Amino acid sequence: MKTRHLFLAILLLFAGSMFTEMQAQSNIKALMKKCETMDNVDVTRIQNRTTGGKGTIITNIKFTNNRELLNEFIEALKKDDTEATYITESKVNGKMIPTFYRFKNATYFIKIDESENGASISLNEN
Amino acid sequence: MKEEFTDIEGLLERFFEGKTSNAEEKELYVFFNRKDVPEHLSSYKPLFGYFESGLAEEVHRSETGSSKKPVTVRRRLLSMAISAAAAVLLLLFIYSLINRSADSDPFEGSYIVRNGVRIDNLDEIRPELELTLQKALLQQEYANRLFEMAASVEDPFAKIQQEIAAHYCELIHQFEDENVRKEVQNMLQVDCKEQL
Repeated sequence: MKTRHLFLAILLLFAGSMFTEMQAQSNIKALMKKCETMDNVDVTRIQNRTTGGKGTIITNIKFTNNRELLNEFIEALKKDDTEATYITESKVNGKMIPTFYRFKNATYFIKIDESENGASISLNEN
Repeated sequence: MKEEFTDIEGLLERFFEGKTSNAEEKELYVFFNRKDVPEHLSSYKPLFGYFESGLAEEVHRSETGSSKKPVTVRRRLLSMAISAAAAVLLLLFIYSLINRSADSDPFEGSYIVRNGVRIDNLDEIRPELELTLQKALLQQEYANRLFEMAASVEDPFAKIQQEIAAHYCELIHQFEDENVRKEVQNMLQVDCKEQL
């Protein structure tokens, strides 16, 4: 009986850590997926298997003249920043703009162009 | 008839004493299976009915039990063979996933979406994919260097604390009395032995 409880506890811990891992970056990833259905948004998704195995997955999103989408991305990044292990920000026109986010298995490179209401967001997943 | 019954009674007596042979017991079973068993012996009828069927069942069980062994061994070997084959197939499948053949395209699964339209044709989008990949790798290289720099930077506050502690110790060593030196060290919360 005790062994069964121990096994169950380990299983629950494992499930919990998996759930936490899935919850990380959830807002940004959902928005990036949504971009595939939008007009005037270019999405490039590369599955690079040159290193063998699953390889690296690179997703690049580019858009201009879309203030609403730009604000959504900034919001999504702010919501997910608690799970990030490393963040860098730059001051642009008096505002702090995120430029780099690192999570456990993913890295986001963000280049925001306020003058054009656009952005280029690159996601590298290992 | 009476003689027969007397014989049967004698056999019965020997049966209960455990002295009957197989042939004699068979004679008893046959007798008690008849419909015209006399009344004074009819009470033994169910007993011999049980013995006959019960024994028959035990004989059957012992016979089938002895023949079960080969079937169990056969089944066990078969299940082991199936398990081994399944394990080998699983390993081969995992191996094929990990190490794709040289003929497969490294960009397999990649695509570009423009204005909501997905383009999967790798020949068409290959140049753009390669350019994007190069940019991504450069960005990753830049990020790695950034991390290396961040890891190598000393904590400036710790350095300042060390310098202040060193100056305090220089002043403390000017006191001749050791007890005074210890008191001042405690007050300033420095350990001058580390500074020596």
